[in-house]
Amino acid sequence: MDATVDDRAAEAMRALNVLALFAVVAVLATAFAMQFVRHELPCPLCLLQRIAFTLIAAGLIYNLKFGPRARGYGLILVAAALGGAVSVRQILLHIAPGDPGYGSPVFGLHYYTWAAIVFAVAIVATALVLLFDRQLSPDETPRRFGGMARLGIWLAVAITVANAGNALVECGFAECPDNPVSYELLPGL
Amino acid sequence: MVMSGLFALVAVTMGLALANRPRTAFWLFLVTLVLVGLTFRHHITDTLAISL
Repeated sequence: MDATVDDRAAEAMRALNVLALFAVVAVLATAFAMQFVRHELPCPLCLLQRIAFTLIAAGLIYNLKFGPRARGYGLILVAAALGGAVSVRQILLHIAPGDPGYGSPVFGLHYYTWAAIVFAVAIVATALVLLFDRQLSPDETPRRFGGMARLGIWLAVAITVANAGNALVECGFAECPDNPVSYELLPGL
Repeated sequence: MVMSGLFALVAVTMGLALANRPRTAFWLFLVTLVLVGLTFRHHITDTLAISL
């Protein structure tokens, strides 16, 4: 058995990276939907979790652009670990009996609890993917994208930019309040 | 402003990767991670203080 990159394994893992990118976009889109449909503004810890999700998307884009690499998966792992720490911290803040938690539950769990689960799944899935080391690219040669990869990448970039604008409108130029109830730059919204 | 800036840094990181700048994207990713960690730091110290 030689030690060269297995093209079929690399292609399969690229497909998995695209799938994961769509999953991250779906999580961020759900957060936006909850914010605008239920009029529940994200708290600072919620925003940090969203940032961690966008960092995972950045790691996936890195993998798609330069081929699956240990470096790309490492970035995804640290982003997921950081996001997991933030979401577990928020769970601990609301763990006391009688505490209603922050925001409305989705399918019985709060957004930050779902986030903790998704971050844990991301860590385990990335570790499992790293077991197949014949997929890993030896260098950072740029790759061409398929249609689905291109769509996933631009959706991820768009939702990250949208989050930057949203955070600016919500928090203004000062520190975000712990329990925001209105947009600092658009108070009538 | 801080949160918005962190999202903007992630967007720039994605842009650098897409513009074939893997090294710069990699380092900006790490810088952003550190800044997110610094933003979160008082939660870490609070949790440690409670657990001690």
